[in-house]
Amino acid sequence: MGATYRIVVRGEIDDRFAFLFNGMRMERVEGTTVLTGSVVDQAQLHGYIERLAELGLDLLGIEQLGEPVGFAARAPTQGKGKE
Amino acid sequence: MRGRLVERLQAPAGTKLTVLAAPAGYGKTTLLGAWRERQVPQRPIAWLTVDEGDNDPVVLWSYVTAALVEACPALDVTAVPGNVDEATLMDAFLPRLINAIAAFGPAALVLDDFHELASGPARDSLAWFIDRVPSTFQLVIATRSEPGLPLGALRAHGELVELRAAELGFDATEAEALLNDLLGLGLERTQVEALVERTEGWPAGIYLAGLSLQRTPDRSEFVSRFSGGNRHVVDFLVDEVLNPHDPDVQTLMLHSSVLGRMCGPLCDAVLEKEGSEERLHELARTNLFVVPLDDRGEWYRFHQLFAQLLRVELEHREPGLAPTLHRRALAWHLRHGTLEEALEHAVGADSLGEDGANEPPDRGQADLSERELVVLRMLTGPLSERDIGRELYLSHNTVHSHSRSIYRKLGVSSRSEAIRRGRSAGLI
Repeated sequence: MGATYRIVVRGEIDDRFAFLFNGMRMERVEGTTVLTGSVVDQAQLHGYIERLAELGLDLLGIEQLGEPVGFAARAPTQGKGKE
Repeated sequence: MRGRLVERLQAPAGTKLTVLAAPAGYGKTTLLGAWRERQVPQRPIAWLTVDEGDNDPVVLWSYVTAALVEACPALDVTAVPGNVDEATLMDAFLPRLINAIAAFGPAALVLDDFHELASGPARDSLAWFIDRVPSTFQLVIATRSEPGLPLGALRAHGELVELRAAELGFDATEAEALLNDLLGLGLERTQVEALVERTEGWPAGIYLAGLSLQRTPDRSEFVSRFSGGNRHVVDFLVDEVLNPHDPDVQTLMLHSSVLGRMCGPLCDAVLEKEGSEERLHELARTNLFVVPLDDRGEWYRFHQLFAQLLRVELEHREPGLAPTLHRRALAWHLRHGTLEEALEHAVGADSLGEDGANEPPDRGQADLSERELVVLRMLTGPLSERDIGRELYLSHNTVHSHSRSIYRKLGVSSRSEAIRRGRSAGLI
């Protein structure tokens, strides 16, 4: 179930917040912050969203970017349905 | 200050449910507190702050009943028996409670932090309750996420009052009351308007700005610097709020941010330093984000949002320290028998820093996790695994798998052996 996600929040926040999101990469783009990194499962993803809410950060978007290479290589079966 | 909203909360007769739904920092709890103070002369208002342990309907309703009886001593209902099952709760206990509420007359119940309740049986039991409770009773919930209750039907029957972020945000007049009347900042109207615009009326942001401004000599420079940037309000303000304090007070705030609630002696233990009690009192006097939990000035907690900001700053300034702080809090709670909180800190203590730099203390070959140590300690007592689960708000299965893992690590096959081995290894 692990996959790479991109989460966009309103406002620019510093890298020091990254540890709340297990070190996801943070980029600041014109008044938004883009978090990119792998997410283990849906529970972790929901945890991240909850954390954003705790900080009062507005969620602008969230999308799956496909499974990271490392994960696909570890997966036991080939040709999984997901992109 | 929030007069217009307190008015909105004076719901018309027949309102069964009032919902305050907004993200963190919109002043939901503060508003409900003000409303409750105004209402109490007319009818009793019970108050329960929900936490995630309440997902079991039996646990939830025992707390609800206790809160109701505390607010309405004449309410004719007995406590929820500890060993009741869910079916008996729904079929026998709740109908009796509803009858008692009908006989009692006007009353209300506040459920704060309702979002802590996951969807499932506990929420379903509340929906069932709202559907049947007489209209003399008003349920008020404050939540960060959609409550998952049948709002549509209540709305259609005119039984629902809703307040959401758009209404809970500050306008310039409310911001002025906070910044100038309460914090005594003496800002110009245009400066207040600039702060409201920059924070989009988010009360926590305005208050953080107010705290920073209190100790800033050049206020207009601060307002324009703050208004001009793209940095998020919380990112901009955490340094500004912390830095003007004495180093001792900064340490207290940062290190106690791992605590769910705090008192002087607990903070002393976590900081390994005396004098926390006085610093806490002083902080609580000047900072609304330090919330008193009793009238005696003993227990406090940080506003959740503020605590989260402090934890970010703690990790930034002292990376990897948090598990150590959790471990000290764990030891304190074990000594004081507050096991549910001990377990929460056990979870925090088990999480290693990102680089794994934080070495757990040496426990010989057994190497039990902090969670397992709490369970092992409980196993020395008279409780069954099921009762331990209840006490720690864990499922029976979780306790069972913890104890299997403890047996395996200690190389034993029974509870009594585990206790003996644990004692001889100095683990308990």
